[in-house]
Amino acid sequence: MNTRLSQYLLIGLLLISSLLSGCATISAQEPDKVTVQLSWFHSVEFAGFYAAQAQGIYSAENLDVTLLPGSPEIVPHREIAESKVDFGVTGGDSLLIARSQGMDIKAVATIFRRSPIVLMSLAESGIKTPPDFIGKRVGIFSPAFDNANDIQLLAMLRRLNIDESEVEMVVIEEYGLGSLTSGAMDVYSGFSTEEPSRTDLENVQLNLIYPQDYGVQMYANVIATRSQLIEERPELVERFIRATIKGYQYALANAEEMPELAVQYDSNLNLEFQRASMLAEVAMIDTGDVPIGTMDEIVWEDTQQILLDQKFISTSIDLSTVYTNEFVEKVQ
Amino acid sequence: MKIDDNPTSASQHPLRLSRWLFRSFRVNSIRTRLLITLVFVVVLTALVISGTAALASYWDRQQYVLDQLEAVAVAKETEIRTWTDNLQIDLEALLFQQDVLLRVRSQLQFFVADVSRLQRDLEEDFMNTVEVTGRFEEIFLMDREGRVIASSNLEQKGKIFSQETFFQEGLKGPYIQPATYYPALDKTSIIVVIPVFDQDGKTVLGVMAGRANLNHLNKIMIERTGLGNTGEAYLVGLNRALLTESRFPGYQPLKTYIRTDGTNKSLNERLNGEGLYLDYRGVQVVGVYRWLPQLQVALLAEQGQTEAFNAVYTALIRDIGIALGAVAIFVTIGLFMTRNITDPLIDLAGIANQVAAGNLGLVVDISRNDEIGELAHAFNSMTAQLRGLIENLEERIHERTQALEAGALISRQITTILDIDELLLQVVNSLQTTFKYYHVHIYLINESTGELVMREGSGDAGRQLKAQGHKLPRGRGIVGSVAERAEPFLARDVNQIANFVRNPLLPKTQAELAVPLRKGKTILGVLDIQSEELGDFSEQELTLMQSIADQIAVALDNARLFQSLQATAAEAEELTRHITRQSWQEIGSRTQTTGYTFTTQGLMPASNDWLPAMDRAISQRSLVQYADEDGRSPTEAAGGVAIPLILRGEVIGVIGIERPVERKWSEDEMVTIEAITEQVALALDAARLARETERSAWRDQVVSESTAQVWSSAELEEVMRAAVAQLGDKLRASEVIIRLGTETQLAQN
Repeated sequence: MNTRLSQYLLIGLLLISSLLSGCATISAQEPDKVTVQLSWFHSVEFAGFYAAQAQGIYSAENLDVTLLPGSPEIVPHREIAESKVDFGVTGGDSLLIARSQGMDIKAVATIFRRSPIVLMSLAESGIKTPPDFIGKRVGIFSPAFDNANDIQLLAMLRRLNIDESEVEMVVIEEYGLGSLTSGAMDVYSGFSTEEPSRTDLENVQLNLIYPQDYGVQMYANVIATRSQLIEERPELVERFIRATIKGYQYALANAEEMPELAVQYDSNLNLEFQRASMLAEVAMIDTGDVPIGTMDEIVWEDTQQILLDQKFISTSIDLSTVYTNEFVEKVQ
Repeated sequence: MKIDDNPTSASQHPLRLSRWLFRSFRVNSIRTRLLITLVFVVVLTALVISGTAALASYWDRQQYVLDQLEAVAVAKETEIRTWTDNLQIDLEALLFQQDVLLRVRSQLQFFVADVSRLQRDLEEDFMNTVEVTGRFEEIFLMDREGRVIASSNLEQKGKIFSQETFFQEGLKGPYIQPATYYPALDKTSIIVVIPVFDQDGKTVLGVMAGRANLNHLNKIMIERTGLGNTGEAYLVGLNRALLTESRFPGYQPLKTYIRTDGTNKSLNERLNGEGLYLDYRGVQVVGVYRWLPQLQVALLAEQGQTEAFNAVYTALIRDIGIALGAVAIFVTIGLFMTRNITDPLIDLAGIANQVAAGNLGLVVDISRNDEIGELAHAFNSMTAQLRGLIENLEERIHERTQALEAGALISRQITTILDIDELLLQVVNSLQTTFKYYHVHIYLINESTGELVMREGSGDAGRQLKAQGHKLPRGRGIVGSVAERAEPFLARDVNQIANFVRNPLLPKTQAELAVPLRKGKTILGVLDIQSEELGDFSEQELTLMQSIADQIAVALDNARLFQSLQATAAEAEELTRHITRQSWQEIGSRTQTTGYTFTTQGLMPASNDWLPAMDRAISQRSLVQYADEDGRSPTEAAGGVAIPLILRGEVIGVIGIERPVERKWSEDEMVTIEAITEQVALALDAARLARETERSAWRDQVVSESTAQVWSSAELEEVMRAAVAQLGDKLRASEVIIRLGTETQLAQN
């Protein structure tokens, strides 16, 4: 009786230990390596990624995430489509254009719910509304208008029935407010989270003209990946998005920590400027009406319509193949 | 042992202090345990009471603060609802004005070419409303495309809000756009919209919107009645923007974003509630939060916990102070109480230790009526009893030792004194004086009559009784029966004894002890002891007296034996001497020559020669030396010695030796003379005995009296000749005389 009992006990113990070792091998499994191509240089714009990394949120999802900073030369959607990276940050318009060019790419979340794209003029210039652009020099990034800023500028002018020929388009050669203060142009195109945050630092007064106030609203920094990856490894996408959204939740709740964290990724960053940027970002990321990261159909529809109007794309694309909120919705 | 060895000196040195404390508060002492228990009970009670009170007042206070905050929040919520309702009412009232509606409709429907006038009028209407009501920052009108075609703020004209929720919703019906951040305004705004219908009221022509002026909300929220010094009420939009002013500097409304437990609960879960949490400054607050669904904002009323619980803390500190004071008082009382209880015990223990060490004379000086007093009293009586017991014991040991010593003394006397009368006298006197008896006497049995005769008694009574020749028949009285039964008898109270016969000379006798004097199975007498004290005599005394009696018996027997032996010996000696005397008396008559004289001329029988010194030697029975001063010697002056011949104590002759005076007698010569004399006496006796034996034998054979004459004296004469010859020769004496005869015979010379 006793020997039999001890045999059972022994077998039980062996089973438990094998189960435990099984668990151990699962948890000890190599983390999934994930690379992310950011849309621009390191900054608090990507605070959620930094927070997820620093707070161990990625590790908790068994992810080993590498964040690659962007630059004017790097085209994130191309990096994604060519499988050089797993995820990337890119503009909604660029994504649609890339799709029309046959690239395999799909938006799974947005960082900013409101577009940060803004046109700036010096306060003393008197340029306050788009009609004031007529006869003035307005900065663009490319004569092909193939970037979010240029597309939105153009779309805005068209929504207001302003003939772009009446506006003198000047290619921006110097990034920053220097283009305005130097007199190189009258209107400069940028991000509301960037240049306006520098006004105090650079001691200039700006008039801000937002394309979204004129019916032009696009997502400036969506998180995208290949639809192939979504199909093949939806749980990986889910884990990454969940961790990143949680990273942004942390970033919003602890906004004051973020500037320092960003500086850890790029020591050239100006801490004061990062602070101002972070402050400006909060309301762009969390609009309060829907969970952060959520994309609105109407924004995508408008974006597509503008791109169709401006002939960047020739045919409309099924938006359900362009973006999805399914991963954001799974986040608590 | 004592708690307060010397606390003041102890405190002078930390080591000494700690030692003192250690000794004073040994864990296993009653004092420490009492004190610890007392302190524990007091502290526990104080803790429980003040803890419960503090907790209760903490909860009460929290509830009170929360209730107050709740009341404030509810009041403000009502005000806000009114304000919100008024927003829409005012907007609708504006549109209700016929001329305004007309202008709006024509503006929307016809887009009149003469923009300037119509638009200016409309914009004036809008501006007036903004100004009059004060509820709006801006009122604007959008066409169906979301384009602003008229606004109280001219700069806003031309904007397109087609994508904005307020426009989309406004097409459907009245709507309040929750707090939303608008980058162009760089702030969060609340926008109220109503649709503008055509005359038929079916087709929506556009949307009229009012951007709320939050100043009035500020006024509502800034009213801080019931919020205390650190309390505030504020509104937070869905996008976490602080909509109203903070009472603390550095938090700009509409640009500050708040994510606290309060805002998260109310905005995420759309709940009302309350709690303790960190506010947006990171300060601990008591807070009440309410979700306002109409405006889609959270209303928070908070108060710093420091202020909220200040009263509690003050009360707590006061309570702790009181509790500590009470504890201190109780501990002090406890200290005195325990000292009051334990100090006498410690003293008692100290005294008990000393008593244990042998100091029985100590008395505990505790005069209390409580248990300790009783204990002390019991202890004292116990010590007293112990003391009495030990003293009694010592006394008894002393008595016993004395008795034994007396017994030993008497034993010694018994063994040393051979005279019976003296012995008995000594014994009775010793017993009487040593043991302080009333009377001691000894009876001996008269062997011939069998009566008990009082042989010796102590004191006058003893003497008188002895003089009277007091005697008792066997079997009468105590003494008689003891002699009869040969067993000791002890009567502690003689009055109880039936056959007690009181001696008139001994009237005080109360107790009597009588032991037989036994020699084997023979009873020699009785040792009788009497006491004046009732109940005197112990078993030990009886045993002792019996042993003394036994010794007396042995001594008596010994003395009797000795006396009879002595008598026999004296008799024998007398007989011997008589025989010797007789034998030698007859010698003279039976021998021819009874003396010889040796001179330088030779040896001749001389039965009549004599020297005067010889008389003296016989009478003195010893050697006599003399110098012939009287010139008795015929020839010349001479000196000499005379020595008797003694046999078995009887003089049988005498020897005299003379020589010239110039030759002195040496000591050696004296010794030689004595030795020779002794030998001569023995030789003479031997010669006589030989002759007597010869004669007896002969007589036995012949049985003839006449032949006695034939008795030869040859041997005797030979001995005498040899003796004088030798003495004369050896001592170079001028004359040596030997004469035989008894003292009486020789005295006749």
